[in-house]
Amino acid sequence: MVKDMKYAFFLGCLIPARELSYEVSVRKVMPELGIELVDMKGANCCAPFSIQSVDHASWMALAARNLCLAEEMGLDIMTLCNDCYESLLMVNNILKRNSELKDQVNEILSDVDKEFQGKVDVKNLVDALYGDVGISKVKSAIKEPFSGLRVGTQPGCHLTKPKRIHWEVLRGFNELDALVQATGAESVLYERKEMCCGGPLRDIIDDMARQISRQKLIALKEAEVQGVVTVCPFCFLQLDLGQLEIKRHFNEEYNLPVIHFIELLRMGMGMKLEDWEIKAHRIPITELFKDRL
Amino acid sequence: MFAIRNMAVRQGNMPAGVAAQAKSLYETTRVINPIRSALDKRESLGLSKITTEGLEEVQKILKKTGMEKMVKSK
Repeated sequence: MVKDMKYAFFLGCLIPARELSYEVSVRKVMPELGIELVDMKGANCCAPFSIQSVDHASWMALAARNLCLAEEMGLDIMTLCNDCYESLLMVNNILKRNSELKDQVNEILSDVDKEFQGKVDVKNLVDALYGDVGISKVKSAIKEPFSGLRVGTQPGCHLTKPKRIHWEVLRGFNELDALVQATGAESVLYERKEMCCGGPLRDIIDDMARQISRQKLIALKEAEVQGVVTVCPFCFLQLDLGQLEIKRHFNEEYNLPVIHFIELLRMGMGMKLEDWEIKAHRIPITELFKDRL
Repeated sequence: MFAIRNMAVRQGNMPAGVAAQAKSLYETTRVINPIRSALDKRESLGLSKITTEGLEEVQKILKKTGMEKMVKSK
């Protein structure tokens, strides 16, 4: 780790384009918890696993370019997007361990006067909150606990892939559950909790993507949760907007509010969401959080 | 697995959604771009601007790896 509690903030593509409420909540909450975020100027797309499928060398070089920018800033990266997290983490780990690949990537990067040196780490929001801030500090920041609120957590599968892929212990279910419980809410165990949201199949096999989300929603309903808490922007879209698609395709309504963990934390800390942020949720959250909005 | 997918792409087999992402990445540095209303909202909230800073470097990289050719042939 380069420096505690200060990160190069890698926003990625999806969040600044489609989930501004996620970004705004992070920008409001993290400084309150002692974490400074510095925007990464000139960063490119992470690049996601779809680009890995197109051309492996391009995927590595583009991710490495972002890592070089963070190295120039002298800061570890924090990202909110699970897809960005996986790409940046994997490339960082591969290049730190494989000098042959590192040389190949640096040969590509030499055309843009960059050199990967392997001087920074890549973290996600759960890493920063659980690892840097810590559960006790999160708990003590909660002014209005969510007593009696039953939620299902959805960390997203990029946070929970096996150690053999990421080479290190990953934050995942347990850590997000602990963070949710620090807010006073109950993280309820449900079937298919470890299952993907279906999002990665959007625009590729849409029917299957919807079926996977539907199975997850059925399991969440059976567990009698009142809402879903996620840290992944793709899971958020797939489970929130996805419920409207499921209604159209299957004529089924689940009406299960989906919320980013940071929004839950923000409300628990006594900060209200603005009207446009409440409306950014396709499945209304007003009834669930009526005393706090 | 990725080697096989890369070979398939080189032979012209790329799902339309993935091809669109690759093209957007080459042209803007991003696979997902904001619509006008999101840009306006960002400005009104005082959030950082979404720019194409870095585009020249991204295109140089993709030219060197050969992905530029794949994107342009689609």
